[in-house]
Amino acid sequence: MDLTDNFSEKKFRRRDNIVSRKIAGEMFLVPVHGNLADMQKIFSLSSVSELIWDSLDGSSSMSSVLDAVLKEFDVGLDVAQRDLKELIDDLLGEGLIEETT
Amino acid sequence: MHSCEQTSWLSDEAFLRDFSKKVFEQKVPLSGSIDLTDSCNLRCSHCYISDGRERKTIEMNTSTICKIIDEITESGCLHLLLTGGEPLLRKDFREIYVHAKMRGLLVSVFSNGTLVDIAIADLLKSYPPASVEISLYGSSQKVYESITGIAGSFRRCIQGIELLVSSSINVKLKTVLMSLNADDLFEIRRTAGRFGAPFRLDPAIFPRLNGDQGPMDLRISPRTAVEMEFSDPARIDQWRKHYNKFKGLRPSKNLYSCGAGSTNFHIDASGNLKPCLMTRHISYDLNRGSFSAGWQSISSQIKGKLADPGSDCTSCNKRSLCGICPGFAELETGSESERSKYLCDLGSHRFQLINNEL
Repeated sequence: MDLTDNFSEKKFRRRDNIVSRKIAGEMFLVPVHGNLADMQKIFSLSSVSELIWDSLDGSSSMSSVLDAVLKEFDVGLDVAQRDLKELIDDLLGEGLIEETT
Repeated sequence: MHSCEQTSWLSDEAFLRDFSKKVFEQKVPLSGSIDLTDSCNLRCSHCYISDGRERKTIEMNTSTICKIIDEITESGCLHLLLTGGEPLLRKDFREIYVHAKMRGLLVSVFSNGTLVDIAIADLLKSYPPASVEISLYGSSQKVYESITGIAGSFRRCIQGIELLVSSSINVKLKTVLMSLNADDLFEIRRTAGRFGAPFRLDPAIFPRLNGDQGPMDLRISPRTAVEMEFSDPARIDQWRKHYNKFKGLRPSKNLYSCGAGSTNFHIDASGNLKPCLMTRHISYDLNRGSFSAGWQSISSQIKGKLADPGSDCTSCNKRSLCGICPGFAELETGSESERSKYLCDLGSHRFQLINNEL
């Protein structure tokens, strides 16, 4: 699956109400305030997802995030593209990130 | 690459097992509790902290508590319980609570519920806790206040629970089962059900931390306690699962086979770091050193305590059912290695009933 032009130019940023924690080598995202429905969940991230999460600063495009993943990890382009898209969809769905313009 | 795995922490057993192993091996202080105060607005008959007289604890100030919260977070703490005394008596509760939440801790609060007002409910709604656990000692004013000793406390407790439940806070209710409320248990459980809140009971009353054994007079017989406990089918199921999980496990060579000093800690209202609430003699003053140094100190002391291989408890096949606890044993018998007959009897009755059920 290719990143569509539309997606590759998109930018996202981490929501302010999420705190990331690294404990015993595992990365957790902890919502601290906001929508009650989301507050009883915490999230764990794999090391690749962690790199993506750290890159979601509101100014990096998805194509640049994909480049960073390919540079840092031994993963094929197709898999990296698919997983980046899936992760962004998950994070958006859970309200952990928002798109910036 | 794995996508975001929601709630793997609580719902994915494989993840939890793997993570717990790493936490234990790396001695991460994952779970802790802080007594924000020793003071309380109730005068409960069974209280392990106080017999109702004025206490003279020099409590930590706001900045010390917040600094300690920063340090425990840096050390890997995830679950933090704010307790006391009654934590809502602290005028700076809001500041401390929000500070802990903003550091990414999963904060729970133990409270008697009587001081919950709209401001507290709004605070907890904005920054939801993992849970608020409230002790419900009776289903009526008469029973409740025969234990708490304060007129009007029952009404305020019920109002507090109602406020939290109506604000969609995750409320859990519990009671200490004792001679003063044993006849009321079924009504207490029904009251908890009316609020839609999970309910648990604990019959293991223990002596006061100053050694006063007075509260033990309030214990009910172990047989009655376990029969009442097992009148809740869900509780039988929980104990059975617990028993099956640990059945056949080799006895630990360590005296403390729980998480105390390995992954768990407690900080009293004066700032003394301890392996747990019960263990009083291993302590590190956080007013004089860092949490990290204190954690190293208490965890190495706990590790050095070995179980007596000749003790009946070490090889007992019911040891997962009694709630064995060296700290409890020391408070009751004066020795961490000594058996608490009351806990032992509770374990035996649970064992008997579980096996009758099987």
